[in-house]
Amino acid sequence: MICDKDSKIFTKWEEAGKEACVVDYCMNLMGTAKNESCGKCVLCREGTWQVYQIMRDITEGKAESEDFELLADLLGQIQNYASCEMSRNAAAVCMELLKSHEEEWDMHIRRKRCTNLVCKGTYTLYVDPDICDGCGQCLKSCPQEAIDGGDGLIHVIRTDQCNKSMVCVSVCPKAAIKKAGAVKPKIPGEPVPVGSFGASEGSGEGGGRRRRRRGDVE
Amino acid sequence: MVSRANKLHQVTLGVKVGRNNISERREDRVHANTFTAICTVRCMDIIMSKVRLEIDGYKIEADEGKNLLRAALDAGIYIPHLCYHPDLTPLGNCKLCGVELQGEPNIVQSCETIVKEGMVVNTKSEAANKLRMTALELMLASHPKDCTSCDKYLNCELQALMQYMGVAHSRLREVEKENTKIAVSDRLIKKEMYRCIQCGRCVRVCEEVRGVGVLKINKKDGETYISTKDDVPLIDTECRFCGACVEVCPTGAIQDVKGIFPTEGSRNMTLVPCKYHCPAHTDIPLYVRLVKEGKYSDAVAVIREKLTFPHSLGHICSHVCESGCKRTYINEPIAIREIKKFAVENDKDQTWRQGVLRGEAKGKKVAIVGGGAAGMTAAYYLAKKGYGVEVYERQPVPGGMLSFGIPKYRLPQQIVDEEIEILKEEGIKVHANSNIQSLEELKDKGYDAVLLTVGAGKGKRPPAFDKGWSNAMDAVDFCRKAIEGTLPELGKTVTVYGGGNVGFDCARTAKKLGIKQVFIVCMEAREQMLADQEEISCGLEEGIEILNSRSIVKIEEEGNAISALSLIGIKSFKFTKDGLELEPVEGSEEILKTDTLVFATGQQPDLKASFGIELVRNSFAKVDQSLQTSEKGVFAAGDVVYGTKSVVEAIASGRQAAINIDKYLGGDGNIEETLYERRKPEANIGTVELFSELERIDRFKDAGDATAESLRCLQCDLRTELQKVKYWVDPHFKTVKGVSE
Repeated sequence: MICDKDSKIFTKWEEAGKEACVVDYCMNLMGTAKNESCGKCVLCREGTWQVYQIMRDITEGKAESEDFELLADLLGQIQNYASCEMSRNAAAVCMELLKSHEEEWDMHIRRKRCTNLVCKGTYTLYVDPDICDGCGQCLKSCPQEAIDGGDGLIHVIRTDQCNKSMVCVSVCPKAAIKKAGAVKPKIPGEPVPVGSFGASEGSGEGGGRRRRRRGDVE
Repeated sequence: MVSRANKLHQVTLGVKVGRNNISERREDRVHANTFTAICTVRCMDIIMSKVRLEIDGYKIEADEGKNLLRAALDAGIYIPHLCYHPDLTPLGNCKLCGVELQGEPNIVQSCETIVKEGMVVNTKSEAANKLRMTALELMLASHPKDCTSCDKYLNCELQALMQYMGVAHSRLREVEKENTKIAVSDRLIKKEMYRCIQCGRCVRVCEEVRGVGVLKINKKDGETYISTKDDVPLIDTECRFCGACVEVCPTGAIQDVKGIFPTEGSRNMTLVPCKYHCPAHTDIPLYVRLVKEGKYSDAVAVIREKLTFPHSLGHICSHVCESGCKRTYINEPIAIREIKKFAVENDKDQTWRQGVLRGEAKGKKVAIVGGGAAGMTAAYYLAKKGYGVEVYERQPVPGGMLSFGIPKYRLPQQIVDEEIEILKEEGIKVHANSNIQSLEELKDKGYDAVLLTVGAGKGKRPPAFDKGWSNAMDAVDFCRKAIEGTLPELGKTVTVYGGGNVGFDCARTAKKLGIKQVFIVCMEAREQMLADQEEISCGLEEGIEILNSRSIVKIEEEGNAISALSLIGIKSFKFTKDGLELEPVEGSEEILKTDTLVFATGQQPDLKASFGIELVRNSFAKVDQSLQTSEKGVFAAGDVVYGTKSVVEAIASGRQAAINIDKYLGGDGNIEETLYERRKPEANIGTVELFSELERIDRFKDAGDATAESLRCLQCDLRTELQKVKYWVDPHFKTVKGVSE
């Protein structure tokens, strides 16, 4: 043992709640291990970093097809041979969750999907046109300036510029900003006056377009 | 962690002898007591049990208590390793040296495992290989790929490991680390921390071996990195700049700044620049260390292993050693010459005398023509070798330039005389006032060899000024006459042409003789002057006027005498094969009236073809590689071979001549003596408050100054004591040193 850190610093998956995502949980666990590493043992210092990096890529939708096997491989080495209890334990926990939630991992890696819409690369944010009252708070708050709108208009998030900082979600007094996964809701293409957007309009966007993604094709 | 067995090992030995002293690093001559100690160690080695084990099918033997990696490497079985270093506590952190043991479920790190009788080891099992590959891949994930542009290219342990294991930059994500940008280089140590793989060797060597501990594994923003406390530059820490971190770094992360070491020569020599630059290769770091400890007699013994005339050198040595001193890159070089002088002047016990080697009388005679530093040095070593040595000296006393060149205010004659007496104790016969003009004169006297060390005692002027003016002199004659007291009337103004040390000798002598106006005319600008800074500042203090960047273009005559000099300012000058080329400053002509002109523009030997040997460049002795002249059995050394250099160069040349003459006369040519028994120097140097700020002390008032100045030494030689890591391609790993059943 070269490090006095132990696994007590980690939160438990069992306590993570129903809304949590196993990939996101593992990423944060490894992030903690990486940040706590004393830097001496290569499996802890570089291994937890590498695993964290791969998991982060997965949550951001940048996974590569062989990442599951790579993770299993690296976690196995860390679990068995790292010099300290902390990183060995972190790896063991992740390894177990990798095996017990293989389907969820596979969905993340191959389809860039997250069941609970926790992982950033798996959802988009939108302003629900039925709730938005055009107050403009979200527009002012967005660090990316990715929101269009104006006084009395339904605001629209430009998803290609949104980095999911979630600031708008926290400032919206109406809780009108929501996550969308594979099923994309019907929203206006550009800001329109509050109350003017209904089911009959927005011909191009109608019907809840289902964007299909398959495998590792973006 | 030192294993229990290892501790036992040390306790059992009970003798403070480092592991390397036992056989490999012993000097040939061994003091009786030490010898006993070594015998004891050797006996215990035999008594101490060995264990037998099997590695990859080879049966080997290893000392009990040894770690498995060391045992394998010693036996010629290579196991990849990176964080392990033979001088450091094994940590098992790089995971490269993992092996499988029969009967053990898990891979163990061989560096952390102590050998056991009957152990069966597999270093190449699938699991061990997999762990090794993963570990190396992980290290490479954050390591740059620009190998060819790294200064460590082809001398890099990491690169060698990549080749051995066939691991390239791989399937893993590239990792960019931010904190590697924090460390800054200084004038001695270049840091490219983005090449760091955090093996921690530098941190351990600094802490464990040196006891300095300025290098740390730091942490910032969740990223560990090697740095200093609070990330301050090394110069602001208690770093001793010993270079141990550079020595153990397996990659290009911590390197020597290029240019601080000589590039040619053996590693152990070039790593110690002062010793390298000293023409006699005196063990300078050792005697500086001994002076620091107040062991002046021991220090002198070290000095005398390589040098005759140490006291004289303490006064006037050209100290090229100091120009190589690494401390120059921190503030100023160590005052090595002053340290030497202090040691010699405080050598009460003269312990060096006990170690002097004297050979049996050989029944052969050697004649030495010229009793200067080179001649007397050769005479000394040849006499000790058992030859009958006779020195022919044209002056009333020997010493050459020590007696008749260097002014007495710089080097009192008494010191030279005393040092000559010490040499003469070996039975050298000196024929004074004997000016040998030809080999013929020695022919029938039964000499088996002759050494010519007549020096370069004739002035050399610019060709245009080679004329017999009544009030012009050559520096070499001026200095000799000043010492003899035979100088003619010099007048009110003396001008010296040439700004080297000899020029200052003349000018300062003239000033001390009471001459009102003394000029030095010098082609170099002030900063480029060849004389020592100390000479220049003393000269200026004494009222000498230095006319820099000027050349004499014409000499005004009155009858047979010089009346005035036409000077011209010059921007630059160079010597080409057609002579001197000047770039004059327009309108800078001036007239300098002078009563005496001294040419300090160089010296040459005063040797004529009639002497009976072949000459080169008019008057120099022509010699082959063994310093032998065209005449068989006639050798030459010192200034007569290479022109004026320095006393220490002459001593080195005299030593070489003694070696070659001994060989020529059938001897072994070995004149080396161990006058001081080496012990392994203390590797744990600890810290010294404000070490990098300690300022040079030029002149010592007392022992306190000597200690303080010696303490400034960076002890470059300690680095050579660290063991080298052998690469897998090393011939050592070609064959396994196994044992039979």
